[in-house]
Amino acid sequence: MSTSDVRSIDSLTRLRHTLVTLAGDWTDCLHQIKYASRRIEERFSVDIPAYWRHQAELARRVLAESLDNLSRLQSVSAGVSASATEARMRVAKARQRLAFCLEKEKRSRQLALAVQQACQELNGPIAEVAVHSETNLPAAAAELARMIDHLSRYAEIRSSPIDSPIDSPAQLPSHADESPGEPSQ
Amino acid sequence: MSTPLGPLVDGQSRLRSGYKSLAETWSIVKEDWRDGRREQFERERLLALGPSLTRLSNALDNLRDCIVNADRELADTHGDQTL
Repeated sequence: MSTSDVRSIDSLTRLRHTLVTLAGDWTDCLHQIKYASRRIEERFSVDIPAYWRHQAELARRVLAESLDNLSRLQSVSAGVSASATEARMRVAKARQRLAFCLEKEKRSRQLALAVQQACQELNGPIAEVAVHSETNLPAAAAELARMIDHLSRYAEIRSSPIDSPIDSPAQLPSHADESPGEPSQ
Repeated sequence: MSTPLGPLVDGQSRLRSGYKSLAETWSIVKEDWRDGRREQFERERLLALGPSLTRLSNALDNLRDCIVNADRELADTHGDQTL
């Protein structure tokens, strides 16, 4: 024989409600986090490298145009005019932009791997919390529901108000291998 | 060019908030439920939640730091283009 010392069935009911709500909220949150992490992984492995590839391509075109322009100016003015000086500056700037874009493109591939790894490191902890939200918390809520049911029935049998405090800790006897609050026969 | 972190931050915040709410409810329940079964319930059903949540929270912090760093390194500081 063991005894139950439950002074408020309402407390257990609130706890059960909190567990059910928590299970649902955590399941939603995990879906949200998984979706966000997939989008982030895609952004770093596809979108950002593509952006820098495109920028590098644009920079190549600008460099080619600025070299053509400089070449034309040099052929007509021996490369000493103010516009030729300006054209050389544009060439230098275009080279600098191209080098910058190529470096970013290379770095984006390296960082995509780092982000991918950080996203994958979420998988284990997400699965662990999912076991709680999908299995453990509903099981805990179900266990409480059984307890509440037993205690309520026992309180009815005793003709006591369900939520009135029970003064003696030994008022709700139960068998150790049965649900708590199981009335003794 | 910054990566939107809202869904991750919001998810992490909601996970913590739900756990906090459970902890508050549990502290009240402990006053009204004082037998061995309560200790067993706490041990078997609740004690593992906190450490699991902490592991997930740490992994999310790590991902967020990684993203912030990557965004900073990959910012287009030369052009006026945006991604």
